[in-house]
Amino acid sequence: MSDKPREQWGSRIGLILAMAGNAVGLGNFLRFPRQAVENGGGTFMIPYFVAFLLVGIPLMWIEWGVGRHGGLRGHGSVPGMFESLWKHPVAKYLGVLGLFMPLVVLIYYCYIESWTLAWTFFSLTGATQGLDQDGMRGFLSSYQNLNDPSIHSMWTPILFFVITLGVNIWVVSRGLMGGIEKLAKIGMPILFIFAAILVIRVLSLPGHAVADATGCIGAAAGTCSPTDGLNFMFTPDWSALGNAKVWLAAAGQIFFTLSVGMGSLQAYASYLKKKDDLTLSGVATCATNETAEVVLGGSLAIPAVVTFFGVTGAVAISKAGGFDLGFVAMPLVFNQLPGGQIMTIAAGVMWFGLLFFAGITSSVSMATPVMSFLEENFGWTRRQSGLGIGALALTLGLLHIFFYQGGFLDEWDYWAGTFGLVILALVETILFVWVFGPDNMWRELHEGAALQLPRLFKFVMTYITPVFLLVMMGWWTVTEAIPTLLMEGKPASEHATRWASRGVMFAILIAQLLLIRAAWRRRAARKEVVT
Amino acid sequence: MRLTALIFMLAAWTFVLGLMVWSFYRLMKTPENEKLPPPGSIP
Repeated sequence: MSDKPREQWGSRIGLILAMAGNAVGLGNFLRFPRQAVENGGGTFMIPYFVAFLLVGIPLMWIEWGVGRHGGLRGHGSVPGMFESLWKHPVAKYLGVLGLFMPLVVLIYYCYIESWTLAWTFFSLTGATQGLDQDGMRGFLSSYQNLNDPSIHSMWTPILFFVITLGVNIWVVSRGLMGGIEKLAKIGMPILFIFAAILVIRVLSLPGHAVADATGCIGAAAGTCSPTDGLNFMFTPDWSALGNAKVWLAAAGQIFFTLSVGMGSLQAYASYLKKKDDLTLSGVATCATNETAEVVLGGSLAIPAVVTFFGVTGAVAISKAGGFDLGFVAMPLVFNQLPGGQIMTIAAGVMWFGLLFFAGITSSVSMATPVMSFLEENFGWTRRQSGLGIGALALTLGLLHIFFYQGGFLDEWDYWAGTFGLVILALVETILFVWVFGPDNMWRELHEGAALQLPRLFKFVMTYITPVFLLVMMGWWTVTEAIPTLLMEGKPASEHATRWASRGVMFAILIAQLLLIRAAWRRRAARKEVVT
Repeated sequence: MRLTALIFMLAAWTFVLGLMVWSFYRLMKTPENEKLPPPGSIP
């Protein structure tokens, strides 16, 4: 443990914006609308908000509690936090998940984030203007595939990745108050302003003639409007409520959107003081994220795409994935906006600009746990740890750029960015609630609290949240993890790349376990010298 | 807009916006811990 005094947040609003910035990410604008339309429309909101109350908010409080409890004992990352909850030699090794997940996700997330920066640039220069749907898809495909230099040089994605990573490292190297908090105070208002302007623009669009207007109010006249998009998003399908898959999809969306199970919320919370509130601040963080997701995210992509492609077209685009929605369909929508070239440029810059800010406020949080770990255990300076993480992310990020088409990124996204999150959330819930004890957990959460939580939540956090997580993990193991492990449905040509991708992840995990062992040996040696 | 869709949309918006406004209002009403000057800065 380092003897240096730990940094602190400069203000409560800075902390909440940074926490909300951590939670608000690309998924709020690209994943949520797709999940809603694929899982019952308006009915999706019922399991979604149930999961929000039973899993989302409780996990947010748990992670803030684990983080502050560990931070007050000098731990800024999960291995030390777990050990402070459970005095057992295994605890710190379980905490490797809180180093592994954020590092792995940081690396590939920065690559995706660099697309948003690139598309902001392309929007500004008008590079995507005049393209039809095939042209737009080819534009994205050439960017993702280095072997296809028909539109982009192979250096273009590398250049934008290096710039994005550089900005991330610059921000985190400036420290908590001067870097992360300042970014959140600038980035979050910009994100909300850009999104609000785009929502007003999209919802005030007139009806538009589409090739297939089935399902639109103006079907007889062959037109669709943003209202049709909202109808499509929010009309309830009651039969979906009886479908377990819908409930798990809603719980999964809540899980991803709040960035729980990652290790980064705990790292941020470790900089709280003993008497800082975490109950009300946790609610404010969740509510800010939900507003960005439900009000802004739900009113942007789907209504815009339905207006110009109809419900049938929107379904096809949605099924092709979130990236098609964000990087193919939305620029096509912007190309057709009334107002000419200026409106196309402005809308493109605002859309990809808001995605960039959503991305970077999340990615800087992912760098924090590993940096804290290196600083506290090996005496690295903030600058050294930033450069170290940057060098590693650059090297491994290039693998994603070179082997994106072979499924290299998909593997990391599934095992670390999806399945791993539930494992960490389950482990930390068991440790904080059951091992640390429900009474201790409740006392810890209410230290300096500005909001007394209803006692019902003690019951929810003790029984309901862990059971919910167990069911989610069991379901995903059977329906997704095993088929993914066996590469079912994946072309044989991708198998080698996917195995290599898993090998690199495994190497990172082993290296981090060894680092934890080395860190604790150093601590033991220092204790011996002191005594 | 269909009535059921409108009801679901307004209910969802009201819930999240209401929660956000309420939580920030409560936070603003609660004074932050007083910041002490850095150690050694008081003669």
